[in-house]
Amino acid sequence: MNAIAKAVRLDRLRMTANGMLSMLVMAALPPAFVLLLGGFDGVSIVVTGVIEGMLMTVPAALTMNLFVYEDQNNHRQMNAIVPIARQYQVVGRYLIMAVVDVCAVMDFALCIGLTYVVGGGTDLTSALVGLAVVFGGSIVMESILLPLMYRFSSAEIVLLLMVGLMLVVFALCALALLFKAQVTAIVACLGAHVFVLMPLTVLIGVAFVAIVVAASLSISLRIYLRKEL
Amino acid sequence: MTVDKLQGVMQSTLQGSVPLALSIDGATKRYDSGFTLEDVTFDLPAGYIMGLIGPNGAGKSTLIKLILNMIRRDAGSISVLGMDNIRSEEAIKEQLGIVFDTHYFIEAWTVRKAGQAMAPMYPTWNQQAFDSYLRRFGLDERKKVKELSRGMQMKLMLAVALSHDAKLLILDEPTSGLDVLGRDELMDILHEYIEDGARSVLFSTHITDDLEHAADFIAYITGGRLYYSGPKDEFEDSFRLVKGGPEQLDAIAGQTLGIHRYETGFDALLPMSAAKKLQSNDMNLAIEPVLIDDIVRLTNAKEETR
Repeated sequence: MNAIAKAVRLDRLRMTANGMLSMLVMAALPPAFVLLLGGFDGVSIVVTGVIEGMLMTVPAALTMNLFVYEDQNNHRQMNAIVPIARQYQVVGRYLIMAVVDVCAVMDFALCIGLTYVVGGGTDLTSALVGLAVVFGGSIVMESILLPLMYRFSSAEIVLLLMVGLMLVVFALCALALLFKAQVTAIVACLGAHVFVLMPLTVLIGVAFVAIVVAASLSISLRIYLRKEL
Repeated sequence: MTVDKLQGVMQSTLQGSVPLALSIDGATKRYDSGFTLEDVTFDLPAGYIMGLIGPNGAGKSTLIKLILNMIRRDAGSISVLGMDNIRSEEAIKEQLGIVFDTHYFIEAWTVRKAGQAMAPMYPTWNQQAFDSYLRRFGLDERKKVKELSRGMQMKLMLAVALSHDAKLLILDEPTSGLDVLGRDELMDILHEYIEDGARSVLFSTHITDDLEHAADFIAYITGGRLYYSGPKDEFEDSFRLVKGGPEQLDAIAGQTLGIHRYETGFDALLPMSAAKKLQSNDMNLAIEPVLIDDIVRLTNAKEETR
């Protein structure tokens, strides 16, 4: 077994430390949500939005959980014992993140199918957009989180997320208000010329996600290779 | 093992004719807190047990962390099983068995799952050996790690360390959670482990009783500096414990390596040569062989009492 495969396997065992049942329950919740509420008139759009949100955040929470385990009871020392070089430990973690995201997308696809059966239809384009949002959104979210998790302890991250996230949102809103005219013009231009072309939109989305992942991986490697365990 | 034989081994390692399990040359680590592990140099020949001793905070764990590349080294080099510990980290760690003073597993894992997590890490993993150690240590596979006592958690780490044909065992304070029987059992296991002459043990402890019977070599670190490394018996033979009354303090002035004064007298550590002179001068002092504990205790006695 090569080093990256060993790292992925070890992270899988960490992720399922409390048993596979908890993972299955997590995967079963969104479809159950659709089955229970998806049939009501006018509710399916809300249900889809909630499920999108759930499936974007659950993979990030699972990935964060790996770091929480490492912060507990000297478990991080295991990373110093196993014969896996640090760079492969990081790459392995990004791969397990991708696997979890693919599972989330499959779960979302199942939810869309169930929405169609229970609620009587959804159009293909919005279904594909939903899948792309779940996959891309969760990857981007985790790509932002992972370097932070390598740099800070899980307790510090909670504080950072609470305060930092609010500050970032506030700053973005303030900037948007300050440059309202320019922002409106850019959004209108993108909407009129770029996002109407599906292939171009997909290309931009894929490129954006790829750049975010590459930058994130590079920062995580830099941090973890210098980290004292 | 006799001092002469061990000195011969040391000589051979210098000439390069005995393979080294571990070679540390000028290893230095400086912390922002001010503590520095300074210029540590010693060798552990293959096939022997070395005790790494020193008081709490002396730098034993720092040295082990340097060997395992857990922390950045500021100077020096470390070679494990003939390979550089950073450049060949993976190859080295496949051949290392490691036991820390506290377990490193996820507490929710069962003993079985801990084994499943470790097995694929090592190409030489021997499941039969692991199962046999679990039986020998009385470890129930279904129990969660958090349900095990500290001693049993240590035994689980030991079972993992011994189940993949490791060429070098590194044990960091493994006996701190064990009772007397457990410590005896561990010493027996370590002796069995090095029987083939190809495997070695580096054993950090502050319970020096463990080393009296087990260790062939000693590396003694205090205040971040290496005080001694070499055969254990030579270490003990290099010093004598001198006991006397307050009126005899003048007789040993300027010769002690460490002294502990009481109202009724003193214990002092002297080099063997100085102790011999005192003996021949018929000073009526009690001059006794030392235990490792005495050396650690007295060399760490406060400066002003010397």
